[in-house]
Amino acid sequence: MSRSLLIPLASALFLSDEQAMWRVQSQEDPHAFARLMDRWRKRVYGLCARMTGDSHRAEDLTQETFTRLFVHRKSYVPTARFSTFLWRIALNLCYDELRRVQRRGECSLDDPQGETSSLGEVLVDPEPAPDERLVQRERAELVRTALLRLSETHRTALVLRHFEQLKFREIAEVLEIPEGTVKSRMAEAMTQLNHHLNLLLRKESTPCKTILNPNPPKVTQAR
Amino acid sequence: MQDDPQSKSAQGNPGPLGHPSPAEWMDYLYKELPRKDRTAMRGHLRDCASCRAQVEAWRGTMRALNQWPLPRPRPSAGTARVFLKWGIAALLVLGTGFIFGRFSAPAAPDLKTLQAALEPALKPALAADLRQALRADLLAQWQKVFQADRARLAAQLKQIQSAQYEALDAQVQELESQRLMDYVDLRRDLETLALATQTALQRAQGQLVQLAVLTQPENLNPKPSTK
Repeated sequence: MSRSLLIPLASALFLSDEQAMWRVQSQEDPHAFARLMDRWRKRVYGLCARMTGDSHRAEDLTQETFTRLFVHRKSYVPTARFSTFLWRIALNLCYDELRRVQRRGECSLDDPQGETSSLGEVLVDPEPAPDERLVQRERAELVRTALLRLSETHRTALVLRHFEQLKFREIAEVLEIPEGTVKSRMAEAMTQLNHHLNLLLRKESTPCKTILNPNPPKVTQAR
Repeated sequence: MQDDPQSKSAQGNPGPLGHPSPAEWMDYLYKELPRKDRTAMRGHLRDCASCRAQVEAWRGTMRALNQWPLPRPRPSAGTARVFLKWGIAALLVLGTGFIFGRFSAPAAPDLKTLQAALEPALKPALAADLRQALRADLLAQWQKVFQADRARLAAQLKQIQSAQYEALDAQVQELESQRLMDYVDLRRDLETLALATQTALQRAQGQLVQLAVLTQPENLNPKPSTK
């Protein structure tokens, strides 16, 4: 087996994220970078989709995340955790996207049936009957809308803990805030989300496609 | 979905009357507590209705969040290409190796011809090796026998020497005892002789005294008496 095949095979089998990133940083190793992309693409996509509520835009943001990772590879500190570095890049892109959306007013975060709705993209269980599938989609859409009503800070904590399964300590490291603050934000996020879901459930009985929330939530800085 | 009965407690401050704080409930709900702390909090939930209601509300929120599954991303064309490339490369390598192995394998050799070719070269070498091995074996055997005989001879010699020493010793002792007996006899004879000599001398001495007395002149010319 030639050397050109052995090296990527060894990289695939034995490299940790930090080692792979070091190779990208020092040797611009494309195989190591491809390995990182394969490992992290789905998770970064999940973060972007839940933060922005837009699955199409999330794919673009995922691609941009890895592009930015490569562009800023020299600023990665080899002794730090790779995942922390990656999450920060992805989150910053999500925040930029949310601000861009708000500035341009492309959609209301509160419009459950807007054009950027990912209603059609929600993954549903193929087995249930069509009416159950519709119910699942509606519920998913409710959750998506309620989540988008949270502030950036609360949504970030909730998405990272509940969906990405990061520990509170790891979230604190990513956001560079105390662990206690992360937990407090998480509790507040859960409480607010509960409140928004209740409101939306009551609203569901009178659907209106052009309803806009007169008091849209402000997107604030997370750091 | 339940309304949260303790929205104030979600401020991040510890609750009143020793209730766990919202931060601690987050640890509990997301299983980041050690087992003993979890047990303690479970115990508190059993006893405290307000905390129980709050935690149940949060659990409802967690269940609601799980109803928004992750939309499936479009598969990356790059990833599929990479796998396809590796698959084709693996097949090519395996196929090439198999074909090469099949066609480059040598034909099975003719054993009789091989034997006839090897025998003249191998026989003298084998005979030399056998002779050498036999010589070495004989030498080892002889040395073994020689060693055994030498040991036996040495033992016999030692035994003979020992017997001779014993005999010599016995003779010396006999001579010694004879000498002692002779000495005793000689001493006895000498004492007897000394005694006899002494007796003779005493007799001689007495005779001499008598003789001396007899030979005195008074005794020879006695004087007449004057009356």
